[in-house]
Amino acid sequence: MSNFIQVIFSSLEIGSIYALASIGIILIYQTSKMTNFAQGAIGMYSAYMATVFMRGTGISATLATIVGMAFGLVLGFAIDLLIMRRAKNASPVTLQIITLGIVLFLTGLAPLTFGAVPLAFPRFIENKSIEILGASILYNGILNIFIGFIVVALLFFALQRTKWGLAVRVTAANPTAAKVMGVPTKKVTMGTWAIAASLGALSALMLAPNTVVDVGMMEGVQLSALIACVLGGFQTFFGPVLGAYILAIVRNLFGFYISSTWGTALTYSVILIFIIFKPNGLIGKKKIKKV
Amino acid sequence: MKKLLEIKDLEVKYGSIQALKGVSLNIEEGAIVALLGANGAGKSTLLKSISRIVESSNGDIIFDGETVLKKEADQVAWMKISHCLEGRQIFAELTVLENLTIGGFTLKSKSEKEEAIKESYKMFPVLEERKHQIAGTLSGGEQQMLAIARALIIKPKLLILDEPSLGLAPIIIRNVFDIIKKINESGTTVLIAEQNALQTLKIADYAYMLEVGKITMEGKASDLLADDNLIHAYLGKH
Amino acid sequence: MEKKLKSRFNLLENVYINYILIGILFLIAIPLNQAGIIGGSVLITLGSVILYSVVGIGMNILLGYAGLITLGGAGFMGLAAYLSAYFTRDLNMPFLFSLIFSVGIPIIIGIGIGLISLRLGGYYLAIATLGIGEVLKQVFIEYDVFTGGFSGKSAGYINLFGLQFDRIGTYALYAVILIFALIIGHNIVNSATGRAFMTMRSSEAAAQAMGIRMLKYKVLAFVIATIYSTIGGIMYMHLIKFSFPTTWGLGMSLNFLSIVVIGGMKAIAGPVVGALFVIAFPDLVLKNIPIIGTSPGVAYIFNGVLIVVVLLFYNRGLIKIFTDAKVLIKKLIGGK
Repeated sequence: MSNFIQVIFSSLEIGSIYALASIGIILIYQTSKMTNFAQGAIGMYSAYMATVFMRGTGISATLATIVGMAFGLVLGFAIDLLIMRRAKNASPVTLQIITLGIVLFLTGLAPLTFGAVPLAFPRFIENKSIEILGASILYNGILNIFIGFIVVALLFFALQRTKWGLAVRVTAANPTAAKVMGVPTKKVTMGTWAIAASLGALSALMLAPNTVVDVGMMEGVQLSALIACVLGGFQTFFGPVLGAYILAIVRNLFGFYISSTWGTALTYSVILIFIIFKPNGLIGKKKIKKV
Repeated sequence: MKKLLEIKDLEVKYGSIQALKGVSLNIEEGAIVALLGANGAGKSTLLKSISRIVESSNGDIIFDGETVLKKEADQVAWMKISHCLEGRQIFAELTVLENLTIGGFTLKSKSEKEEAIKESYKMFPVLEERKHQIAGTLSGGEQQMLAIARALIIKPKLLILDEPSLGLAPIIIRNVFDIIKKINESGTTVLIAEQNALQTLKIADYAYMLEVGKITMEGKASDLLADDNLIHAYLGKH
Repeated sequence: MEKKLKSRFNLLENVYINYILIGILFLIAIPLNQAGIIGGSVLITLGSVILYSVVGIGMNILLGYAGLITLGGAGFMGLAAYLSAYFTRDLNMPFLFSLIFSVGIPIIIGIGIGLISLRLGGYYLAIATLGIGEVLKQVFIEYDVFTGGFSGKSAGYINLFGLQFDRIGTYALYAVILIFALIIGHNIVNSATGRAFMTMRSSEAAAQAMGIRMLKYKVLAFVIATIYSTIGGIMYMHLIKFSFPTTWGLGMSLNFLSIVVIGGMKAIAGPVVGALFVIAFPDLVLKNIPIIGTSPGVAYIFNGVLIVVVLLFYNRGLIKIFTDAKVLIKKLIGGK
C-alpha cells in the first residue's frame, strides 16, 4: 500500500510538471496555431540561466526560480517578436520546423554559454518529509503538486474571468474578429509566448532537483507534454492538463508494476493507439476545416 | 452636412488580382449609405479596407478628418468605427455575454461597459434571455442581433454592416432592417453592403453600385428606387 | 563555336547529367586523397555526406513533396544499421541477403506507420513519429544481445560477390549509389505518384475530392522514405563500422529535417546541399574555429539558425544558389 501511495504522489508531482509544460504548448497552439516543439528547450535554457545566476549570487532556489521564469518570459517575447512574427504566412508544418530549429539553436548555445558540465539544482524544501499511510513523501513533492494545481487554477481564472483572458480566447477563436473589436492580437500572441516560455522555465526548475541541469533534461518532458496534449485534445485549454496527469499516473503505474524500463514506451504506445480511435483526444471536438 | 468618411481612388490588390480599381465614395454624418452589387463585386473588400483588415495599394481613406491608412486593424475600434463582418463572425464558443463584453474591449471603465450591455439588452431582449448561452447555439437571426449589439457597445460613430441579411428568413430580415433604421435615427452613421438591394434602398439615404471593383452608379436612394429601368436591369423584382 | 557551346549547355540541362556530375564531384575526392591533399578522415566525412544525402532524398520526398513529417527517421536508419551488422557479422550472411532483410524488416514497420498516419495529420504525425523514434532508441539500448547496447555494435566493410571493399572502394561505391538515388528520386517525383504526393500536400480535402486514394499514397510515401533511410543506415554501418544506440536519437532525426529544409524542399538534389551544410561544414570548418569550435554544440547552433533563416527568408532552400547561378551563367553565355 505504501508503495502505491508513493507512486500516486510521485505521479501527481510529475503530472504537475507535465501539466505546466503542456499548458504552455496549448496556449501557443491556440493563439498562434502552431505546435511548439521548443517548449522543453526553452525551459532547459532558462533553468541553466537560473542555476548559474543562483551560483553566482547565492540566492535561494525559490528566488532563482523566479529569475528563471522572468528569463523565460523575456526569451518568449524575443522568439515571438524576432522569429514568429515574420513567419505569419507560413504553413503549420513550416512553423513546427522553425520551432525545431530553435531547439537546435538552444541545444547548441547552452554548452557554449554555460559549459558542458551538468549542474545541480536544489529542491525548494530540502530534507523534510512526511509519513502518509506508510509512505514517506517529501515536502518538496507536495509543494510541487500544489504549485501545479495553483498555477493551473490561476491560469483558468485568468482565462475565464479577466479582460485579457477573454482577449486571449477571442484571439484564439477568430483573430480577425478580435482585431475588429480592438484586441491587439499581436501583443496577445506575444504575451502568450512569453507566458508559455515562463511556464516552461518553471516546469524545468521543478524537474531539475530530480535529475540534473543539462542539455537533454527536458527532452522527456517535451515529448510527454506533447502526448498529454494529444491525449487531452488540442481543442481546449485544459484538456491537456487532464491528459498530463493521466499520462503521469499511467506511466508510473506501468513503470512500477510492469516494467521500469519499458513503462514509458508502453504508455506512449497505449496513448497513440487510443488516438486512432479517438483522434480528437479525451475532450476533443472535431474542428470543421474549410477547404 | 459634414463628411464622416471619404474614400478617394481606393485600389486593392489580392496578389495579381485587382479587387478594387479606384473607388471613391463619401458618407455624410448621420446618413445610411448603401453599397450594392453582386457577389464578388468587391463590397466586402471595400469594407475591410476601411477597417484595415485588408491592405490597400493606392488611394486614401479619411475618417472624421484623419487618414485611416496609417492605422492597424486593431486600432480602428478606438476610432469609434465598428465593423460587423460578413457571416456575422460572432465568437461561437463563447457566451452571449462574453461576446458583448469583448465588444466593449476599448471602453475605459467597467461601468461604461455595463451600461452599454444593459442598453443592448433593452434593444434586443432576446440577448438578455440567452446571456449565458453559448453563442453558436443561437439561431441565425439571433446571431445577427448579437453581432449588431456587440458592434454598438462602443457607441460607434460609424457602423459598418457586411451583408446582414445573408442567410436569414424574410421576416427576420425585415426586423433587422427596422433595427438598423432605428440605430441610425439615434445618431449612428451606417454603411451597409448588401445584395438585397430593394430592402436596403428603402432605408438608405444614398447608394453606390459596385461592379467588378468599380463604382458604376451612385445617387440618392429615392432616385434609384424611382428609376424603373434600374429596378429591372440591376435590382431584380422582389 | 557558339553552336557547340549551346548544345553543350543543353546537355547540362539534362538533369541526369547533373546528378552524374554530382557523383563525379564526390569521386574527385579519391585522387585528392591518394595524392595526399586531403586526409582519410575528410573522405569519411564526405562519405557521411553522401549517405546522409541518400537518407535526405527519401525524407525530401516524404516532407517536401508529400508534406508528411517524421521525427523518427533516425530510428529506422539505426534499425537497418544494426540489422545489417547483425546479419553480416553475427550470422555471416552474404551481403546481398543481409541487404534484403535489413531493408525489408524496417519497411514492414514503415508500412505500419503509414497506416497509422492515415488517421493522423500534421502535429499528431510529428508527435507520433517522435514517440516511435524514442521507442526504437530504447529498443536499441535494451536489446543488447542484438545491438550490443552501450558497448556498441561493429561491422566490417562490404564484401560483395567475393569482392572485399576497402575504404576507398566503399566511398566510390557510395558515390555511385548516390547517383542512382538521385535519378530514381527524380523519376518518382516526376511520375503520377509524385504528382499525387504534391496534391496531397497542398490540401488533403482537395486530394480526397479528386479521388486520390490517400491511404495508398501515404503508405507509399513512408515506404519510399524508409527504403532510403534503411539504405542510408546500411551505408553508415559499413563506412563508420561502429554504432551506438544514442546515435539514433532525436538529434539525428532533427539533422535530417535540417538537411531537407536547408538544402531545399522541392529539389531532388536539395538534400545534397543540405548535407554539405549540416554534416560537412561543421566537421570540416566549424570545428577548426578557435574557442567556439571546440564547444560540442556549435554545429547545432549553426543548423538551428540556418533552418530558421532559410524558412523565413529563403524558402526554396540553399540549392537555389546553384539554380540561380546556372541561370546567371546561361544568361552570360547565351545572352551574347
